[in-house]
Amino acid sequence: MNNKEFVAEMAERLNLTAKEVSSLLVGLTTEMAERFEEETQVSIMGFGNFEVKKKLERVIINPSTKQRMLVPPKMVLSFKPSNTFKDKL
Amino acid sequence: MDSKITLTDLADGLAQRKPIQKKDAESFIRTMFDIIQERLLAGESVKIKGLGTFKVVTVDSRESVNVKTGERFVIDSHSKVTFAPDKAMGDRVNRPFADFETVTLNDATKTEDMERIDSTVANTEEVLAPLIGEATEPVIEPEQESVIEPEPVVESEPEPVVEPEPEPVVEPEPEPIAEPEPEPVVESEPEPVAEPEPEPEPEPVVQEEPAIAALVDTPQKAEVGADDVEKRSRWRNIIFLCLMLLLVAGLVLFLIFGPKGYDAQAVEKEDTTKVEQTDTVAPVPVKPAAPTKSAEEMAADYPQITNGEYWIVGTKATRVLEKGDDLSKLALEYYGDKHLINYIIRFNGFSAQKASNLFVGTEVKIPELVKREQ
Repeated sequence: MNNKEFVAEMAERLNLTAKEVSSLLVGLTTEMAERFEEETQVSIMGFGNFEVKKKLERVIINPSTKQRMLVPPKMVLSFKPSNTFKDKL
Repeated sequence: MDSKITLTDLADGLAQRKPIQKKDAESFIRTMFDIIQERLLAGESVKIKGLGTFKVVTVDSRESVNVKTGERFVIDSHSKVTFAPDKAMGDRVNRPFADFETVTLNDATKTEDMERIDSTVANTEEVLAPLIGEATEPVIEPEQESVIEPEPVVESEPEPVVEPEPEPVVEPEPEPIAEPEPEPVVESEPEPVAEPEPEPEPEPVVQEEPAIAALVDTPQKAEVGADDVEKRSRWRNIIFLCLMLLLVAGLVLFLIFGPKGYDAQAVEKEDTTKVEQTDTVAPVPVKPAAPTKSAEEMAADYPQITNGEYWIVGTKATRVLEKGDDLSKLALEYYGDKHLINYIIRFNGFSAQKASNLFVGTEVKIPELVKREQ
């Protein structure tokens, strides 16, 4: 399901236009992004947790060239489904 | 700020951003995640712009070990949800570290050494190639007919080189060919000093050969004249091969028999080659140049005064300062010139301030000075 289909379905369920939905969607994602930048954990009941995790720098080796590379530290957004969601799968 | 917010907090935020009731915002968000969940449960992946992609992945069953009891047990195959953040979202989250890039680390020094060796080998080959090329080309280009003649000679060469006397007429040509090439090779690598005389030959001989060959071979040309151009090109290849073989053979012979055998021939040819011999003296002056360099080389280990009149090449003496001692006095005492105080200061690494405020008991090194050549 791509974004277009998703927006269409949202519009149908909420009796909104696709334009309104995508506008709201942008608002929501920017809101979430700002929360994530503050390293805030976002939990959605019955769905799961979004959390920003810090990854330390590390050395990797390219197996084909044997080159050693230093990967910098980074922040990654991770998602962990809730137990209720997992049980449904 | 490791706080935790929920759906309602998100709805608050959304209601502030967009003209929407908080209640509607909540239902909007709830509906959104409901749809995602439904689609995921249906086995679909869901992509939401600005957030990311949710996917369901099936994990194969695998065997594991209970850490406490050591028992083996099987983890059944199951599905799990994965989430890959959108590029925009990922970048935004990672903004504090956005400036970092993955860096390739230098390998251990071993490989660098290997590369260095390789490059030097390559270099020597490159250096040799032009030498050989230069030596052989002039022979081929000036008179192709004359080129053809050397071949028969070439085949017989390996022997004549060993025994210079048997065929006086034929030898002068083949040997010069053999000599010019092996010698540059020998000179460049093993013993440059060993053969000062043969050096002159390469260039003059090559130039004169065609002429001599042309004179001697004119009768042969008539016979050869019938040959096709193709044959010539073939000949050239053969000649080149022979010359290469000769090179190697000549080198080996040269190393075995030493310069003696050549000296006799060389002397004979020098008479004919005349002019270039004077040039050949050049290698000799190179040797005397070495000692002069040594002063400079020695100087490289010490601090120097730029554009000075002398090189600092070592420590002449060390002096512990006594009352009434003065650096300019020391300069006068050791060099007879108080102006050379600068060399003492430089050699000891004194700052201008320190040089004028030295304490009794300070150890001062007096540099050994050698006059610079220019």
